[in-house]
Amino acid sequence: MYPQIKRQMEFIRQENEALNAIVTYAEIAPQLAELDPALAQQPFYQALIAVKDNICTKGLKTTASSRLLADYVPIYDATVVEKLKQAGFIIAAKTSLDELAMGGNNLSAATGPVANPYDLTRVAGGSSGGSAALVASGAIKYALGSDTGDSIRKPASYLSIVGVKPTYGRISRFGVIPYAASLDHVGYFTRDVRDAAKLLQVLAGHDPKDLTSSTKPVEDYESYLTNDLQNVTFGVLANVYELLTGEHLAALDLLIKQLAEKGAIIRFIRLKDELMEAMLGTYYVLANSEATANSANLDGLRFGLQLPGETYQAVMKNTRTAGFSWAVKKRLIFGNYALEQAEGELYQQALKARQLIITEFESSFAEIDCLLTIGHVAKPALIKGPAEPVSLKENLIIENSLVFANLTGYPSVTVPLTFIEGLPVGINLTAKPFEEGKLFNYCYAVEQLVGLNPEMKRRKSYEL
Amino acid sequence: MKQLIKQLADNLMIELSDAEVELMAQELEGLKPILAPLKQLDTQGIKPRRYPFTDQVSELVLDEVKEQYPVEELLANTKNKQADLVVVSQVVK
Repeated sequence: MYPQIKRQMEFIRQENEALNAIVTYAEIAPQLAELDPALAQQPFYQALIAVKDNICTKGLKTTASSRLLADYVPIYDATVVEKLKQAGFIIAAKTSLDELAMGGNNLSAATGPVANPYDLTRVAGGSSGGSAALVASGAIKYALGSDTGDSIRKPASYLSIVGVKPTYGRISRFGVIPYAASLDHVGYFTRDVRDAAKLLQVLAGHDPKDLTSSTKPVEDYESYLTNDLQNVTFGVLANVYELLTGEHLAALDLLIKQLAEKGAIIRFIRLKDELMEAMLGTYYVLANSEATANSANLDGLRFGLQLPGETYQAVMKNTRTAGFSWAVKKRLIFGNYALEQAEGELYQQALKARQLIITEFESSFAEIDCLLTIGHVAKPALIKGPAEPVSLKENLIIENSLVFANLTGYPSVTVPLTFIEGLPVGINLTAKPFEEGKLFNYCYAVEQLVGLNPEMKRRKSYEL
Repeated sequence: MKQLIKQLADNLMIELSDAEVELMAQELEGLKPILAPLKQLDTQGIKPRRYPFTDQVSELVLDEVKEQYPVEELLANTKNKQADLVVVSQVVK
């Protein structure tokens, strides 16, 4: 194995001892041997990348951090993994997640919680916590994740890295173990916006194996990074802004002032309060209703854990009862509740609410190019210990508002903003569907204003 | 409510202990404040929306012979197999 890759793998292992971010290490030597030398001029040739463990990797365990899939070895690669290999990437490891991506704290993973590199007593966020923690630790530059509610963008905010959720349909989901098909997105983490733009060019594109995949052409996203914001209209999400106080408000106000000084037009966009407050409930009903169907193949008969039983129904019941954690069971039961109660009245109400939310965003985006909002306010939860109190309003409006981009499918990226009490806080930017190129430029401009995370600069000394 | 929770779990092929049924009842109670704004929305006359975009078109797949995975690979993750088949308990007795 090449010495520099060996040294980086040793560093990854060393960092992981504190983070518990990795479920399975990949074998590097066979991948290097299989790399096409013709790729040597490609920007990602021999670059190491981590892959969230709900993304299928041929011949490499893919557990979705579930006991039920603890020994599942896919016989095919997800389309995104094929694309990584075609670009010259080397898969370093499969990373931990909330079981089946159902959660936001990475506490339900079968291999245990993932620690926050900035405070090991706190969570890294979820559900893509393992990927986020590895990139934030400086151990690796790139990691794939998935985002059903805010599972890339919230950990990115917790950890001062770039977290990208592209437009629904922009990246194929073939080979990704689903949580909720109408909300799931594949995305990724990088340390800076330029890498994020370059990586989308690798991952994006139509895939006939995914019927929700878009046929829109893939662009040269890096070419958009001009740092020019003249006449770009930013909409600050007023519903969230009005609830901010102290250092969070000050950090956002400073950024707004800096953007205006660069020639951007700033508007405050107020969405209907009743829709903002209904968004989390809408998401929770839809995600978990879909999950009941999406997880039905985890039956213990054809693959994964299998517990004995006298009938095939007993095998299924025993396996699912023992295989799922409480975090999954409660979501599935709630999803079934939403589908069953009063002939699915709650589910139908959520589908109609989704239409109202999408219409509201469409009309707001007629006035703006980019929506701006804080990534989070409440500190990441303690791994052990009581959750810090958050009011219902803060929970609905601030901490869970990023689900709008899953309900609407709009591309949404979180980039570093500031540090408050020693912990990072990110800023989230959202653009119109399939305008990822422009969105990366807005993010790039923010990155130029805020400056690279100083902690990350220090960690770059480990880079090889 | 407890009977309903047991039934919902049973439909999902999940068995709950009495303590878990109690926990789930508390869970549903705890979700009420989150669901209340959704329930209160006026959605009269609004069509349900299942996906983010409405312009996606399903593609027809050509009717052509394609290379398939070998059976042994397909069954590689199966615990109980015999003669290229997944073995389950007898259904028809």
